[in-house]
Amino acid sequence: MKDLIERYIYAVVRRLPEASQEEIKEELKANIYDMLPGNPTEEHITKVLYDLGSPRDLAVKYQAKERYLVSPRYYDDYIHSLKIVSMIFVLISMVSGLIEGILAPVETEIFEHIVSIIASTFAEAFQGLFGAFAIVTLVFWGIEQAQLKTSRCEWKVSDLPELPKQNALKISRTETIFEIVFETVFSVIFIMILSHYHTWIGYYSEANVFTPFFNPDVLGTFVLLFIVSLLSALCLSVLKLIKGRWSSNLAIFSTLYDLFSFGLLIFFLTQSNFVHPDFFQAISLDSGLSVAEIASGYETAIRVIIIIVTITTILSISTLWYKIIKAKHKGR
Amino acid sequence: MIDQSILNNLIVELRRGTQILAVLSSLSKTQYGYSLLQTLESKNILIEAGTLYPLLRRLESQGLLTSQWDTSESRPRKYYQLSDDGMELFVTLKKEWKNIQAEINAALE
Repeated sequence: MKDLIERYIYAVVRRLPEASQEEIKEELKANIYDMLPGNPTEEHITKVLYDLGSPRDLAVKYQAKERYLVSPRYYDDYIHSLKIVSMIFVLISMVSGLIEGILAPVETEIFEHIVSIIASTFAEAFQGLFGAFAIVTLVFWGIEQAQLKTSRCEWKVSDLPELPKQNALKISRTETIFEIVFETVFSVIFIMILSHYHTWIGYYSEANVFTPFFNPDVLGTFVLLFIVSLLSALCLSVLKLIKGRWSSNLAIFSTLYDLFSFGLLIFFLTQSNFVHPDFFQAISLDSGLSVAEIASGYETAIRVIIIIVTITTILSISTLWYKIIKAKHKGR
Repeated sequence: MIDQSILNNLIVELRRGTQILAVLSSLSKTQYGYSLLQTLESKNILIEAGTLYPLLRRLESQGLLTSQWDTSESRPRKYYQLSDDGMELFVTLKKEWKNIQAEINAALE
């Protein structure tokens, strides 16, 4: 029965600094016995302990100072930084996981290969997330500790942030995140097919002779440049997430990226040796069409693709700049 | 219909500052924790035991109260009393309370 009182006191004082434990223990014990009648029953004791409140709350009241890992003053900044840093960490670790997975030698079936790449990507992402959490929390804990030593009210008018200029330039977070996910998933599938399984894409003739579509010599360079393009796309997306709105510099980066990927595509599509040298010949044998006819059909298809890509690139660049110039004009 | 929990919160906030004043007013003569609780109760000042005991310790650490253990009885008890600083502060605080009362009453007219 008295056991309850001892346990209650222990639950309070174990949360307090060692120097004050003994004294508070004695004081609390005296107070509790004062509140009890001569020969207390368990009910009496229980009631008194409930009156005193939970040991955790009582211990907090005995601690005069408020103590935080991250105090309410910094909590918003903490959450904000946590979001941005974890997005960046997750992205970086996902990309490194992907590249590792893609570069690993293929010894299994295509399906298993894809699954293992996805699994390693998610594992890396998870690790990145925890890393970000640990680092951001540590940094804010440090800021909190440093702040305890300086005056809390000091601030300068010059520290105030600039007002955001125009809402029209806002970049939707959700859209950007979707962009990143789709970009990554499709690019990775594309890169994988081109780097590991391109020898499966081609033409099986009636005589069961296989001719690949792609010229492996050119394809290697293309895949390499495509990875560079994917990485810059991811950089751009991360920047968009961080900035949250279009600035001239961001628009310049975005335009350069558009032009680069446009140039990349056009350059390789128009390379005469992009297609395997024997491919047209192989189709010609079965279909009865001449090699020249097939080649000219192929060229027409390429032309159509180039026209579509050109139009979309021009549209995307010009709408972006239109938006920015309009907003700047309004701002004046 | 007013929200009871909001009302109760506001009442607690309103009383919080005045509790210290009531505690100081009862400590011109020595008291131990529970006797002080009873004194306050008899004056209809409601303060929880779990609030009062830590408060006494804090006031002591701020130099407003002095304390000493009485071990002559079967159970040792810790007695608290206003220090000289505490007494001076209490007088000033009481004046401030009267000012506040007058100001708020005037505002509520």
